[in-house]
Amino acid sequence: MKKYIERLWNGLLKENPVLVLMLGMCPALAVSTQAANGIGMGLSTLAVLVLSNFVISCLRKVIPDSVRLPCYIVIVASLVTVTELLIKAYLPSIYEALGIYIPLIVVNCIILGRAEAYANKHTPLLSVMDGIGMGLGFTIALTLAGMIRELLGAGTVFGLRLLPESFGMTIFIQPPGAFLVFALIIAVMNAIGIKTRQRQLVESGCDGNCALCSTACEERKAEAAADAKPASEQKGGDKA
Amino acid sequence: MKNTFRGGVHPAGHKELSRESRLRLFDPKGEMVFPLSQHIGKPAKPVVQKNDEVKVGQVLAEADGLISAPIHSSCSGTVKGIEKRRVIGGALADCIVINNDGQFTPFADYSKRQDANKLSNQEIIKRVQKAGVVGLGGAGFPACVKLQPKIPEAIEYVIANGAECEPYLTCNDQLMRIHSNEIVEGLELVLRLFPNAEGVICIEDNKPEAIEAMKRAASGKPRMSVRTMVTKYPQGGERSLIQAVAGVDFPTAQLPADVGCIVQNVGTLYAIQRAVLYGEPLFSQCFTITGEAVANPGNYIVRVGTSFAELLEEAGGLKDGAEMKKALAGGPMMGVALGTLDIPIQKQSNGLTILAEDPVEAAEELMTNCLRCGRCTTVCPLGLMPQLMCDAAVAGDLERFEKKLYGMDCIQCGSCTFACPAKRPLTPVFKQAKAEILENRKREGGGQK
Amino acid sequence: MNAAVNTVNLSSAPHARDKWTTPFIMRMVALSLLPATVVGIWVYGWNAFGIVALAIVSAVAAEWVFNKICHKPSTIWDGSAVVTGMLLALSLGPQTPLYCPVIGSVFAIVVCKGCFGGLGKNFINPALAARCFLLISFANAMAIKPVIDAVATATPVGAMKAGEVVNVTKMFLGTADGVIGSSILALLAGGLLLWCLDIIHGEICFSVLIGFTLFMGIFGGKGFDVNYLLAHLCGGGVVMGAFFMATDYVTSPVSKLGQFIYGCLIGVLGGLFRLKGNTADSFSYAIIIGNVCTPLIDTYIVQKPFAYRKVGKTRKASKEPFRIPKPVIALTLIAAIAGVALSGVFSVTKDKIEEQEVFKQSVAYREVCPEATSFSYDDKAQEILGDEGTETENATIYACYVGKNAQNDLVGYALSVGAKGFGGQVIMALGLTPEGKITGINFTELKETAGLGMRADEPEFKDQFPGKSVSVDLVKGAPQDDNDISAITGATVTSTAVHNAVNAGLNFYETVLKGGN
Repeated sequence: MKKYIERLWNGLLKENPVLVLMLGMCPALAVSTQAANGIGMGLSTLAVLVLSNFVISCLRKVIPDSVRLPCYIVIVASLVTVTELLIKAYLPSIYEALGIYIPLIVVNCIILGRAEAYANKHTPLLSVMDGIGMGLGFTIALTLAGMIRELLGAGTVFGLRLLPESFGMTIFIQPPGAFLVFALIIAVMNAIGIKTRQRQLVESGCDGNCALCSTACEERKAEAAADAKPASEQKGGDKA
Repeated sequence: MKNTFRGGVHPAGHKELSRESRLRLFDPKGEMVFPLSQHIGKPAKPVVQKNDEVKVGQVLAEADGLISAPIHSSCSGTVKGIEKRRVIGGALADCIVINNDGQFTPFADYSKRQDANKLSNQEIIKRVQKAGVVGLGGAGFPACVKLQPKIPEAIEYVIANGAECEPYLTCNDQLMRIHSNEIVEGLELVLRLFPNAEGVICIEDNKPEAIEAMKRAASGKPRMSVRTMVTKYPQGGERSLIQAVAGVDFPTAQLPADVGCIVQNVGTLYAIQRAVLYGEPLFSQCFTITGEAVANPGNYIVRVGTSFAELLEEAGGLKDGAEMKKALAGGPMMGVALGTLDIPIQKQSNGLTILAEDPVEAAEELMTNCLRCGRCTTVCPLGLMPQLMCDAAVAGDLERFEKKLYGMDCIQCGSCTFACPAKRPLTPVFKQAKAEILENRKREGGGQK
Repeated sequence: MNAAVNTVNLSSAPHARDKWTTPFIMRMVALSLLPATVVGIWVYGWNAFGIVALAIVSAVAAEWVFNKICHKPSTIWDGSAVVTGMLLALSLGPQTPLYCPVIGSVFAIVVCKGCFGGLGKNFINPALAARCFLLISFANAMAIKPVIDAVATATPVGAMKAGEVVNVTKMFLGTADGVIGSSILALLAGGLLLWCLDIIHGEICFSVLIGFTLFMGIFGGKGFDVNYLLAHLCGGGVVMGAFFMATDYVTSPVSKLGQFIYGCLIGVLGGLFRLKGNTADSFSYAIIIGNVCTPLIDTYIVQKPFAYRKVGKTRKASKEPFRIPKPVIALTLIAAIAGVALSGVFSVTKDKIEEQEVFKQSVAYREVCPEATSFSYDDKAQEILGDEGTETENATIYACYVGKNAQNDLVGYALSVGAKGFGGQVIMALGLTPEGKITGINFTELKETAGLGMRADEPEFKDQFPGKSVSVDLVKGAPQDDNDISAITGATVTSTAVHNAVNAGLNFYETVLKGGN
């Protein structure tokens, strides 16, 4: 049970896809003009992410290693197109608001990134939890940035007017402002010392590239233990 | 833009402190210390032992190999021993220490003049080699090696370097004024070795008396002329001279001889003349003791092995109320800072500058980040890009420093550091980087064996 | 004798330094900006002084505070913050509210300079970046309001873009409207001083000016007319940009050839933005783009030492083995399954989606034809319009819909018409009664100048149209006739565009729709 909750926390804070892993920046920057958009986009991505993680995790033994990326892309693209068609038909107002960014969920690096880094190595349920965690993290990051941008740019939050209309600094509604706001959020996170993966890496002095690393550190031991069990059960105690 | 080179800076000359002081001989009283390595190449091998009696001009150490030079005593007395003493640069090196008896008895008669016409080219070179003549401009390259390039007929220019671009120093100026005929004779001897070469005596335009004297001495001599160069640092560097005279630039892998030029300091030419025509080995050179903190700045003929401390005393010591903030062996642009004055002068030493204020200390207060203004690039006489070289060296990227930015070509003249408004220590960084690269090369070269 | 030796410093050669220092260079730049500042304050008054003072003080304070927060030694003594503040102030209008220079200076110092490592590490000119930040954030506040010429409607550059003639002498002296640092004479004096002192690189400032002049001459439409070129050179921050902004050491290339290319790039881009761009502030963006290109220029244009310049380059031809990826059955299978799933979902949702599309467009038309419950095509009109619409001499008719109510009676027409405005096409939905009277206009695309052309969307202008028919005439000032439409002051181009589009629609009605179903 604990490891499922751990996945949630991981996606929300420690490895927040936008603020720590710096994935999915394109839709994050473009869509976070309003807090409401952030929620809409975040939840759509969450849906796609959970589904894609689940499907890919189920198929992880079947997909050959050499063509795994094209396979992931086909799966993700189909899922996104299905989602897009459904939203276009039955929720036109959300479709208007999100516009081109729905098909852009396909190339959202979070989806492909989590498929490659997690879903193809772990069980479906864990992958689903990872998807939920990452999706929630994405949503929260977007909503937070959206709130700030909306407040500074238009004086409202979720449509509620908090500041006089003449105050608005238009730059925050536009892409340059998006970069500035995200940079500020990440800077504040670093300044107050939130234990993100980046901080961990910086403090322990490694560059995070576990694949090429030969040091036996805590992270890898845990991962190896998680991997070794099902593999050894299947192959009868093979040493990795 | 004829008589000058590209780049360069104009540091304050301060030459008025000592330029009118006539060269006079200084005979020291204290012990004389002769480092075994006073030249580029292998250190000399000692041929004397403790308690040996030596006289002025006697061989103390033999040359070891082709790129090496013998060392002769500049005093008479008894050999105290071969000890480790501190030399210029701060290292402890093997030195022959002689107890000076103050008599300066010569080893042979160095006043008898030979007829130059009776000497063959080989003889000339042999005498230069025996006399231990090295480049007296500061580098100390064995002169006989320089005089034997692969193809003597290909040499187009023999450049007599009378530029003396280093601030504060005026000994070459005086030498040219007083011994112009000897210098010209030395140049004539060298020109004999290179039948196709033209002799060009280059003097900066801040030395009008020297120019006059050399012009008079060289008038009527075939294949010889005097050129007045624009006063700019580092005009006296061999690459800058060759660029100004022959219009040629060459990379670090090549020697001046590869582009048809031989450059010799006027002091070296004087020593060559003494060595070839009088058989006198190199044991003294012209020298300037100067600086705002010195009581009586002046030019001297000093003997190799004298300690800097004695020289300062001879020049009247420190001025009243002046503090010795910096003691330099040489001038401010390329001189080496001395931690103590109990250090012997070497053959290539040509000055002692004592400063009452240290510009480097003041600069450290004013240091900022690199402005990327590009002044360093504008002044570099070799056309390097010190900005980028410093970035690479500080980042540890020696590969880029050496291969893409040609860092090993740097002659460490100090022009870039002088000109930098952000007061960044460019030249020290380059020295460090070059030393590291050479270390790595040695290590790799050793590993292959 | 050697007691004094213990006080000796030991350091590496060289032991001499030239007299130029960083504060000296900054002081000289500030000095060269002083004439323009003084003229600006004298011409524009005390508000300008307030802007200049505030900008400088905020910049210095921001740097001090930022250094404190980051636990770094204070760097305000090097004078670069003062220069940034002055440059920013000189590029603001004299009536700019005082919070603008403060916010701008803070942004310039903290974000553009401080966050990247301080002096010498910024990737973009801080003063210009701050100016662009302010332009985007506070578009209205930053719009230059005329101070001197009360009758004029825009700055000289704005007027030039609208095709009017300007007084070049006034711009040269600095007595025309514009930003605080408008006096070209004063700026030139300062700029040339800097060039003569060899503080700025002539390769940059002159190639910017030459690039700009050549581009304007070739593409400006007036050939190399001296008055035209001078007018453009004297306005819009060209001279200031060329001498003070583009020449910033940190953001310009290191090699001479690179500097020349950089200057030409800025000049050409500046000209392009001036001619085709939306606003009068073209040069700022051109310089910023140049700044961003500097690292690229520096990578490819490397100055070799003198000794290596004649040696030819060697190129290594590296051959990489050509691998053909192996086709995999699994990939084909997955793609096939996905294809089937997709086509299934598509066929289910197809009709619903089309319905939504039509409904979306109809919202605009609904507003101008309120009684209609559905819209459909008119065959005769469609024949003429085709798929893309038809163009008349100065407008385009994109589409025509017939509005019908629940009883299927004709209640009106909705046309989509457009014409070229100041900042692009002005497209609107034009509603007509069956008799051809205008019911109203509703803009679907309006990208005009804020505060001027955009006022076309206000009721004051839009409400003039309902009731008119056959054709409308555009007049300046109050309408005399029934068919007159009052133009928006200062937005001639936009007003003309709307007028042309409406007339095209009305004409279409007269020729095609009248007497139809």
